[in-house]
This record gives sequence, C-alpha cells and structure tokens, in this order.
Amino acid sequence: MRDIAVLATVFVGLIWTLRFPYVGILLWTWVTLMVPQQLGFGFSRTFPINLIVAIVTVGAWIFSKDRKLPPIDATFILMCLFLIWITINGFQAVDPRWSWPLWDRTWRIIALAILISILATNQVRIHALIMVMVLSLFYFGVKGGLFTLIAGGHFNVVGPPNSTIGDNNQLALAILMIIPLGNYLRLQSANPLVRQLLFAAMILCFFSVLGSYSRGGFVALSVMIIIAVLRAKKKWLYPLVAGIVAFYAYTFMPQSYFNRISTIQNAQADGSFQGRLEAWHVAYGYAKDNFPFGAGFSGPELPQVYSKYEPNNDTHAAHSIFFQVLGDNGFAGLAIYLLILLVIFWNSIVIRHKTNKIPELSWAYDLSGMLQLTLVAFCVGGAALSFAYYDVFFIAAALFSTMRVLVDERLVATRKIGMSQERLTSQIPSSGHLVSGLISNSKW
Amino acid sequence: MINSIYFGVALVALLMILRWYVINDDSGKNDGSIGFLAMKPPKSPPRTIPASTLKKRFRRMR
Repeated sequence: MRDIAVLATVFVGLIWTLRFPYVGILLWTWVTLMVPQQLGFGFSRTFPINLIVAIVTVGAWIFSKDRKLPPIDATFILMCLFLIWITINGFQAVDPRWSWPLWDRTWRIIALAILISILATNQVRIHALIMVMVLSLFYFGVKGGLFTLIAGGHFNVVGPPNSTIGDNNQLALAILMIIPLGNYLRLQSANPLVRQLLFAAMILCFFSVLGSYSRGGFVALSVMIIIAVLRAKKKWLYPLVAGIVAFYAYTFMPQSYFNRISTIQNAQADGSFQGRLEAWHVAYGYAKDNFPFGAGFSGPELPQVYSKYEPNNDTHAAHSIFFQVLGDNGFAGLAIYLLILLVIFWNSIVIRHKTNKIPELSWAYDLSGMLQLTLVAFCVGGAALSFAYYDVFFIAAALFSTMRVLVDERLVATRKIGMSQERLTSQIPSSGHLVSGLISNSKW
Repeated sequence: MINSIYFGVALVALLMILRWYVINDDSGKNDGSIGFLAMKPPKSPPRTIPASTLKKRFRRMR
C-alpha cells in the first residue's frame, strides 16, 4: 500500500514537473532526504524513483524557459572543482570497485545542488525547498520524539534502512541540522496554526535527538542552543525550549542514557573514542604518504589500508567529516572541501549584513541566520561522525549562492528606486515630502 | 497502522507544499503570500512623514 502511495505521489509530482521543472527539484530533494522508497515494504525499495525523477526534471528544465546557467561564483567553481577532483581521485582509489558506488552517490548530490543554484531563482522557490527539506527530516524527528516520549527513552531512535541517515548518530545530526530550518519556517509562516505545529515538531525533534543516544548529537545540540540563545531576539524562547528538553531528560530518561553521555568526560578511556583516533591516524597517514590523493571513498576502511597504519586494531570508519574527506580524497580534496565551507560561512555573513533591517528581505536575513546554525551543527556534530557528503551541506552551499544573487538584485532595485525618489523630490520641491512618503510606502 | 497513517500525512503534506509552490509561482507575485502555507508579508517600511502632515501639505498645495 505504501509503495503505491509513494509512486502515486511521485507520479502527481512528475506531471507538475512537466510544466514547472522546479517541482522536480522539490521531489528529488524529498526522495534524497526522506528516502520514502525505503519506508515501503515492497517493490518501491528497488524501484529507481530517484533516477526517474532526475531524468524527468532535467528533461523538463532543458525545454523550459528557466535559466540554464548557475551564478558563476566561488561556490559553483569550488563545487565543480570538488566534483572533478573526486573523479580524478577515484582512479587512484585503493579498490575502485569499492569506491565508485559511493562516488556515484556523491556526484548526484553535487548535481542536485548545482541544479538548485540554477533553478532557485526567487523567494518562493527557496521557501518551498526549505519546506520540503524540513518535511523530509521532521518526519523522522517527530516520529522519533514521540517514540522517545512514549518509550521513556529506553530504546534507540534510528533512521530508515539503506540510507545515509540509517545510523542513530547520523539521524541525530541530520535532525539537528534541520531544526534551525524548521525555525525559519516558523518565523516566516503567516498561518498561526502552521507556526504552532512547527514549534511542537521542533520540540519533538529535540527529544528525538536525545532518544538517539548520540553523544555527538548531544554536544552539537548544546553548542547550537548556546549560539541560538546568544543571537535570539526573544531571549526567553530558546532557554524555555532548552529548559523543557533538559527537564525531560533529567526526569524521564533512563540511567543508561546518562551513562552513555557521561563517557564524553572520560574520552581517553572510551574504546569508541580510541577507535576514532586510530581511524584519524589512518586517514592522515594515507593522505600524507600518497599526497595529494586519498584512498577513494571509504578507502581507509579497507583492511589492506587500515592494517598498514594500525596493524593491531580492527577497522573503523573515519568518524569525522574532515578526516573522512582527508582519507577519501587526500589533502587536495580536503582543501577544496574546507574552501566550500569557508565560502558558505562568508556568504552567510555577507547576506546577513546586507539584509539587516530591510523588511522586504527579512526572510533572507532569517534564513541565512538559521542556515548558519545548521552549518554549526554540521561542523560540531560532524567532527566526530562520517557524514561529510551529506546532501544538506551541498544544498546549503547552493542556497547561499543563489540567495546572495537574489539579495544583490533586490538591493540594486532598491537603490534605483532611491535614486528616482531623489530625482523626483528635487524636481518638485513643494511636494517633495509627499512624493518621498508615497514612494517609501510602495512595494517593489 | 499508526505508522502508515503518519506516512500518509507526510505524503499529503508534500503534495500541499508542491501545490503551494505551483500556485504561488504561477501567480507571478513571487512573494509566497497565497494559501495555507503562505509566508508572512514583509513589514512595510517606516513612513517618512506622518499621514496627517501629508494631508495638511496636500491641502496647502491645492
């Protein structure tokens, strides 16, 4: 039944896509983030929904009047460079048969991000994309939060099988990354019911993060709350939410949860942490010995690579976005990746600076602020998790790029109106104030 | 059963978002102001001169 429902929804979406190619982008994002085909029980699990959506979207876009090129900026250039580099590096992989399937997934993510930067040309499109992203991950957050509340936190919250968020740690980080975007929707929605539903969903997402038993998620959550409190206009709101979550955690969560979290303090004695240090040593060692190449996607996890640097230990995943990229794609790949991260933060700072106190662009101000929190969660939580190629990271990069272009266009339009306003006031001195009053109240 | 209903709600929500996008993009207004999921309208910029003063000046002009 679920399989039919998923296919029927995709079918309706694809019909819209033929006329509005951007609907295809929204569908593609939904299929990538929520992985609905894995939530079915039958044929949808092996049905190539992602491929069909991608083909129809690209086809509709080619024959549409939408623009065909993205804004040629640092983000676009760096994403293309990253794509080229991971492809070149793929030929240097220790075991190409092991690495190419993971490369195949990554290039599709980057292709989606580039398509977003081409097609997300206005406020409505960006807002719709955020709605789809929030829906896709709040689905697991709300469900996990309710599960944690009902089960008293005795069981782990995990993600859908055969997906990038199947693991409890990865799901916790993905939910944490999407909570700020849910808050953006809450800030920007006109309907009070939608705002209240989003607020309730956000609180449930916090519970879901607790229910995942993820220590990285706990640290990222703490950092996110501190930053959110520092920059919030309503200083009482975030402490209130944090208070509710902390009260619940303290009162209802079982002792096993606190035992798990308290191991953060004794990291040196924790076997899991030691395993991470070993994996980082392997990633660094391989990248150093094969400069500037890496071992290919998940290459450092291969026994023949791992045993060379850690002969007495079992293999571990990189458990850090930075060491993951270093081990997989070498120093050159890491340099491009860090540059993308740097450009994203720079774009967010510039957008916030330009849109501050401009009512018409308050959505861009809010969104860039919330996306900053998303990236902080990604960097903090991802410092101890293999999550480097997560879709939301590349989508955020594309969104900042396209938002910066939009903001600049709007500001240029405002300046033109301002200049014409000055010209009018100088031509009609007696009614100058009247004209300036009328113009300042008009919408552009 | 509850899981399936929840899944169904998510699918309906997705269709609502797609429809919201289609209607708003097609309207040509590009401010997302139509529908249940509408965006808040931007706050109007501060008036440079109070309305009463404008009225007085307008009368004087005539």
